[in-house]
Amino acid sequence: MKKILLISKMSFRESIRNKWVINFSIGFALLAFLFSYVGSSETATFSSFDRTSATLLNILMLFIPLLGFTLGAQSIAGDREGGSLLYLLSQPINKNHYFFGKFFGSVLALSISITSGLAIAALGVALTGSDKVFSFIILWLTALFFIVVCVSIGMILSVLATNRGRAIGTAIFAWLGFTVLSDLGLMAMAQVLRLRSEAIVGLTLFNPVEVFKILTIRVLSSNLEVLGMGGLYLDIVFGSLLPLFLFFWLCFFSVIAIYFARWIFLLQDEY
Amino acid sequence: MIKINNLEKKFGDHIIFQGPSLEVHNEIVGIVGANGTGKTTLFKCLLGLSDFSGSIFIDHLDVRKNPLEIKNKVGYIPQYLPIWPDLELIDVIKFFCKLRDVGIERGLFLFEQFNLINHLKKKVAFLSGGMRQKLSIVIALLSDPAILLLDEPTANLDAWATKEILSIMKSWRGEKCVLFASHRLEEVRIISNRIVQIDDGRFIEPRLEDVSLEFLD
Repeated sequence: MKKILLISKMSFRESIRNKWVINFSIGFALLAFLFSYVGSSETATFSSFDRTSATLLNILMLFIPLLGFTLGAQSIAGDREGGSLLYLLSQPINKNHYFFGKFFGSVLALSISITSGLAIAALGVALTGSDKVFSFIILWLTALFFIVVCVSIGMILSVLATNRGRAIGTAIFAWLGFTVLSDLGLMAMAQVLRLRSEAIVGLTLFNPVEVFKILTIRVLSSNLEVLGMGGLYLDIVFGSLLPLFLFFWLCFFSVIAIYFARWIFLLQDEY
Repeated sequence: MIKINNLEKKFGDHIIFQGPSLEVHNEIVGIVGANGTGKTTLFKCLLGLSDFSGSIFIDHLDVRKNPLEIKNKVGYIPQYLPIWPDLELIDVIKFFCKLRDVGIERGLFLFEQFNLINHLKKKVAFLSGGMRQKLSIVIALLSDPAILLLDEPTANLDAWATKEILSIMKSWRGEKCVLFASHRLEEVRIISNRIVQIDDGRFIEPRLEDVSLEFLD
């Protein structure tokens, strides 16, 4: 455990100095503040929390996968390219120490980055005297959990990539796939194959970004109508257990991704 | 002591080692061979980082069965120290001291010995090639390993830094078990007790005095 913590600490230091993390964190913080400040527009004051949280959720759905995939993807691929993977593995650590150290370091760096952005947004909301602090905490907690899922997926991309450039390219492609193309693909499939609503919902569950969205909205609001037919269908099937189901589904997603990434990494013979 | 028996290794159809054996005691053994003949792969096998057939024992411990113990007994010095350029030397040494379970005093003692003590606040990025390689040596010596693996340690250095590194290596003669891979035949000849050439997956041991550019023919 001590060795994992040591590697995590170094990975964290490396990540927070990474220009991707710095740039996107600043972008996220600015957007989060801007939307919480002028979100409601008519009065040009801080928006009500429900509206702000919906906007923040949309921003988080874009930023967390983008940062999580790229950061996770660069973690091992970058070391492999620069030679530090071989060097660190020549020290008295095993591949598990290294792998989980890298993973936790990246998760921690991204968590701090997203927490800072949300804290700035929370400041804006707090200034309006909103009493919906609990909802904000929920949004933050689900975001932290979603970070773990996204970095886990990024780790798969990292162990498969031979260099940092490829890792980042694949991460951006995966981000496009999960955030933009999956919706379009699902709509096209539903149209062409005339899929039933349960099939559409089933396929939606394979996209962690969508699962994060449904989970957060379900926890923040009892009304799933904003999610359309799919959301309503899930609500009917799972009722009050829906948040729990989605939470465990995301856990399952993360565990599978990490297990798969670690399995590939342990099999690899090239550093 | 390093004992390699019938080492076999291949990448796909490309055979790297086809059964050579080697024993190294407290001496400096120069490893030479053309690019891609397997010098670095040999080190990876010795560190337990690459699969192979045959057996490798380090201080009577099987590399495959005792990977962490082996890494504590071995210091690895690469061609170029590939770590965190924006970190200060003091942070680097603290990290490796913790990783190798030794007190920071040991790191500072080695810094003193290798004239790095006045650069503790310097970032790795601002070290000269020679100083960077000395840092690499300090890290490798932290747990006072009996075995040192040097993978072309002078390849990126100028003549002055090379001379300094070679004189450090000379001090290990008879005290440590050293494998020193290099392309520079003259250096290998000067520093080594004996030379092993990797050729077509086998180890050949030419006489020291025969090792020159003509030897390549």
